[in-house]
Amino acid sequence: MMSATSSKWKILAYLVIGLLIGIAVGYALSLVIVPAAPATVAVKEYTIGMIADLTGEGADYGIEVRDAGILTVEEINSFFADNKIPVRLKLEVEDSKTTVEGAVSAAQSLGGKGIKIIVGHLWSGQANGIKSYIDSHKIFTVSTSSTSPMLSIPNDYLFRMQAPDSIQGRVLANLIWKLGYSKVAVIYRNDPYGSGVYKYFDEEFKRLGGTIKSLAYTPDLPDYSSEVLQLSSMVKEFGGANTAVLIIAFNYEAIKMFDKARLDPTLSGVQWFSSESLKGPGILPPAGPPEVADFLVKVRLTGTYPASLTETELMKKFVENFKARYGREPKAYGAYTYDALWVVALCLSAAGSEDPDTIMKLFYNLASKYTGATGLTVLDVNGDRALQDYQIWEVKKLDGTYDFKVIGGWNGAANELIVSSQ
Amino acid sequence: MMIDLLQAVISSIVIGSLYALMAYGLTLTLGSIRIYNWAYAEYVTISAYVAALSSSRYSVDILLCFPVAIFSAVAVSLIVDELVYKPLTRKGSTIIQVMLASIAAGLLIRYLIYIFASVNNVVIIKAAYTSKAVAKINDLIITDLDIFIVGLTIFMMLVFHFIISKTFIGKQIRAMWDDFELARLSGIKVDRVRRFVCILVGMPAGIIGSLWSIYSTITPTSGWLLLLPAFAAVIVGGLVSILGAIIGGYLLGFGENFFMYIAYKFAGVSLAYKPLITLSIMLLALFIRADIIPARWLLSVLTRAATHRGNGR
Amino acid sequence: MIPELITLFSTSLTFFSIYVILSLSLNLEYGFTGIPNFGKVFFFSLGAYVVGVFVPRVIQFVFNISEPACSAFASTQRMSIAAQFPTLSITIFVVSLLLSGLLGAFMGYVISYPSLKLRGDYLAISLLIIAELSRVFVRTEPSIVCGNNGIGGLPNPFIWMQDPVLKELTYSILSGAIAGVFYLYIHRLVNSPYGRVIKSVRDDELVSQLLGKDVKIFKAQILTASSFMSAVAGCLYAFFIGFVYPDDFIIVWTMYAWLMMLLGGVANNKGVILGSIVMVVVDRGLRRIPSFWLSLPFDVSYLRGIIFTIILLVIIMWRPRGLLPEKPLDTPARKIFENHLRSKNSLKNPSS
Repeated sequence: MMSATSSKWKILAYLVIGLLIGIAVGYALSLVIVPAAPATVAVKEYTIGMIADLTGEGADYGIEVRDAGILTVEEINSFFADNKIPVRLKLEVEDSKTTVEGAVSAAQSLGGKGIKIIVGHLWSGQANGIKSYIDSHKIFTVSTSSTSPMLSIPNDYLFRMQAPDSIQGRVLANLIWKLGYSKVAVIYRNDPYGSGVYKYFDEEFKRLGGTIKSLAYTPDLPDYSSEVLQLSSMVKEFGGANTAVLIIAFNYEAIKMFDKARLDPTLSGVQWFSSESLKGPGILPPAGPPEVADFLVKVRLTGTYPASLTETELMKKFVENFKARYGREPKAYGAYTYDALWVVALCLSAAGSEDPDTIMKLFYNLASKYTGATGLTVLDVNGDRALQDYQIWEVKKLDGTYDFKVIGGWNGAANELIVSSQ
Repeated sequence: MMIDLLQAVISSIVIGSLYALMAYGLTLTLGSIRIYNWAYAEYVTISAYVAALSSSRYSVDILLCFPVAIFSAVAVSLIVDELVYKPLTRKGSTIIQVMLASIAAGLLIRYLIYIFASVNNVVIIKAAYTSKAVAKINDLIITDLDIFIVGLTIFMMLVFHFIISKTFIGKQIRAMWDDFELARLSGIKVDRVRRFVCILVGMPAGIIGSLWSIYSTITPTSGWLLLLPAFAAVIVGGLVSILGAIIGGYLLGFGENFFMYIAYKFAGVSLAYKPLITLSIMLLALFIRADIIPARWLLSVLTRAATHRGNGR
Repeated sequence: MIPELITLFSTSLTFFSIYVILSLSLNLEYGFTGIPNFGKVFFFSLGAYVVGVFVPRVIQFVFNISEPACSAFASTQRMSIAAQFPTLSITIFVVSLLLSGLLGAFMGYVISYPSLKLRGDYLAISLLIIAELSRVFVRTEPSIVCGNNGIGGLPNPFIWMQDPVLKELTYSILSGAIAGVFYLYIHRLVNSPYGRVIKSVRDDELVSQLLGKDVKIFKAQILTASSFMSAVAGCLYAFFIGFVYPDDFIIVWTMYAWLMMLLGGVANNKGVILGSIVMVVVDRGLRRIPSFWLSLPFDVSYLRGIIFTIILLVIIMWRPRGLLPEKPLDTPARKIFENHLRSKNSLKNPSS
C-alpha cells in the first residue's frame, strides 16, 4: 500500500515537471519561429460561385465556360499576386444539368455555402428560375449568356454580360431585309432562347414589310425529318424569289437538320441565315461532315455573332491562352466569362468586401470603363449589356478549309448595319 | 405537295424501321425473360459511339464498323444481364423492382458514357459516312442510307423470326415465353437460353446504334431519345406481340412524319405537338387493348364517321 | 457559418418533407393497395400547375398589374407586392394548397376507372404516358404556365420576413408539419380494418371480391386520397422553388418516389421515411463534394451521378424488399394481444 500511493505521487510530479518544461519549450519556439512582424495586409480569398451546364444537352457550352473560368481565375490570381493586390479568387463550380431545377439547386447549394457572387452560364429559363432566390438572398449574379429579353429588369441582382436577343432579333431582320429578301421561313427552337430571338425578329421584319412563315421545333427529339420537310414545304409555298430561311437552333440539332436539308433541292436553292448559336467548332469539319459544310457554303449560311467589331487585344490573348491550355478553340461564351470574372475581380479589390449592394454599384461603374475581350462592357439601366456590336459572318470555303468569314458588322452604338461585298 | 407527301412516306418508313427493330429487341426481352429493359437505350448509345469513333477516329471502313459495334452491344447486354438482371430474377424480385434496377443501371452506364465523352472530347460525334442520293424522281430523294436502313432492319427481323420459329433454341425461347416455370420444369436450360436471348437482342441494338451514327449525330443521350418511341411501339403491340411491336414501330414512324405533315397542311397544326401525337397513339392503343375503349365501338364510330351514316338515317 | 448550416437544414427539411409526402402516397397506392403508380409525377405536377395558374393571376387581378403574367417584370412586381402584404401571401398559400389537393383528388378519382381494367404493368405504363403527355401538353400550350418558359413570381407565404434564412426555415418547418400530418393520417388509415381490406385487395383481388368487398370503391378512395397528397406536395414544391415550368416534371420524380419506397421498405411507413432520409442525405450530401478536392480529368458532377446510381443499384440488389420489413397492423386489438403475450412470457420466466 505504501508503494502504490508514493508511485501515484511520483507520476504526478513527473507530469507537472513535464508540463512546465513543455510550456517553456513551446514559448521559446514561438519566439523563434513566428515572423518578426506581419509585413503585408492579409490576403483575402473570395469564393466565386459558378453555375454551368456540365451535363445534359448544354454540356458543350457549360464545359467551355467552366474551363474559361478556371483559366481566368488563375490569370487574375497571378496578376494580383504580381501586383501585390491582396485579393484572390477561388472558383466553386456547380452543375446545372441543362435544367432549370438544376440551376435552382445549384444556386441554393452555392448560396448555402455562403457564396455571395455567382458568375454563371445560365440560359434564360435558368436565369428566370433562380431570380427569386438570388434576389431574396442578395446574391450578385452575372450571367454570361441568358439573352432573353424577358429578363430586362432594373434594380435586381441579375446582370447580363451579353445583350438581350431583342437586339439580335432586330439585327437579323435588318440583315435579311437589306440583302433583298422579303419572305422568310423561320425554324426556331421552342424554348426561351429560340422564341426570344424569333419574337423580336418577327416584329422587326414585319415592320420592314416582310412576310414570315414559322416553325417551332421541340428540342431533344431523335429525328427531325418532319421538321425539315415542313420547312421545305413552307419555302415552296412562298414560291420563287426573295425567299430565305432563318434557323435559330443549337448546333446539335442543327447538324441533323442540315444533313436532311442538303438533300432537299428546294432548301438547297435558297440562302440560309442563322443566329449566333451556330458559330463555333460544332458544325464545320472536323466535327461535322464535309457534305454538311458544302451545303452550308452552297446556301451561303450567314449569321450574327455578338462581338466587338474591332477585335480586341484581350480577345486575341484569351483565345491563345485557351487554346494553349485546353487544346481547342473557345466558343462564344468563354470570352464573356473572362470579362465577367475580371470585372468582378476588379470590383472586389476596389470594394474590399463582398457586400452585394456595393459590388452592384461598383459593377455598373467599372463595367462601363472596362474594355474586355468582348469589347466595351457598358451596361444599361437593367443591368444588361447596353452596347452590343454584332459580327456578320458567312460560311466560306477557302483553300480547302471551311471557316466562318466575317463579312460585315452591326454597330451597336450607331444602330447601323455594314455589309461588305458579297 | 404530292412530292412532299411521298417524301414524308419515305421518312416514315425509314424511321419506322428503326423504331420497329428496337421495339423487337425490347419485346423479345420482355416476353422471354420478363424484363423491362430500360438500359437497352444505353446498348444503342454505346454501339453508336463505337461505330462513330471507329469510323471517324480510326478510319475504319464503315461496313466493318457494324460488326465491331454489334459486338460491343452484345457484350454490354450480357454483362448487364449477368451482373444485374439474373441475380435479381434468381432472388425472385418483382417485375417492377427489376424495372427500377434497369433504370438505375441504364443511368449508370450513361454517366460512364458522359465521362468518356467529355474526357475524349467527343460529346457530339458522327460516323464518317454521309448518305448520297440514289434515286431522284422529280424532286423526291431517296438516299442509299434510306435503302440500307430499311433493307437491313427488315432482313434482321426476318432472320430473327426464322431463328425464333424454326430453330430448336427458338422453340425453347417460345416455351419460356409462354410459361416460364413449365419451361424450366420440362428441362430447358433456362440460363443458357437466357444468355442466348441477351446475345440475340444485343444485335438489333448494335445495328440500330451503327445506323444511327450515320443517320444522325450521336450524343450520350441518343439511345435514351430513341427509347420512348420504341417503348411506345412495344405498347401498341400489347407488350407481348412482336408483330404488334413492329406494326407499332411503323405506326409511330408514320404518325411522326406522314400524319404530322398532313396535319400541318390541312389544319395548320404546329410540329411542336409532334410528341403529343406519339403519346396519344400509345395511350389509345393501350386503352383499346385493355378494353376501356371497346374496339368494336371504336370501329363502329369510325365507320359511321367515314360513311356519314347516323343512327337509322 | 451558422446561417449556412441553417439554410442547409431548411432546404434539406423541405425536400425531405416533399419526398416523404410523395413516397408515402406511393406506398399507400402500391405498398398497401397494389396499384403501381408510374405516373406519380403527373399528380405532383398538378399541384404545381395550380400554383402557376392561380397565384399570379390572383395577385395581378387584386393589384391591377397590367403586364402579362409571363414576363419577368411582372413576376418581380408580384414578389415585391406580396412582401408588403403578409396576410395576402398566407391566404393565397392556404387557398392554393386546398385547390391543389382538390384537383389532385379529382384526377385520382378519374384515374381509378381505367386502373380497374388494366393489369399491373399495363397500368404502370399508362400512367407513365399520361404523365409525359401532360408535360408535353403544358409545355406547348402557352396559356397554362407560359409554355416552356415557365412562370415565376410565386411568392412564398413567408416572403414578408426580413431575413431570408428565417423565411426558409419557417417554410421548411411548415412543410415538415404538413408531412407529419399526412404521416399520421396514413398511419391511422392503414392500421385499422380499412387497412386490412386494402391489403387484401393487394394480395388477392379476386378473393377480396368474393368476400364481398367492393374493390372498385376501395381503389377509387385510395387513389383519391393519395393523389390529394401528391398534389399538395407539388404545391409545396412550387412555392419553395418559386418557379414552375413543365420540363421540371419528368419521370425522374416518379423514379425518386419508387426508389425511396423500395429502399425504405414496401408497405412500411417508417421505412419510407427512412428511404426519404437516405435520398435527401445522398442527394444533398453529394452536392457538397467540393469540386476541386479530387483532381479528376472529368467533372465531379458525373462522379456524383455514378455514386448515386451505384448506391441505388446496390440497395435494390441486396435489399430488394427495402431495409425495413412490412409489419403487421398496429391496431388497438393488436396492442392488447401483444401485451397479453408479454405478460404470459413474463409469467413463464420469473427471473429477469
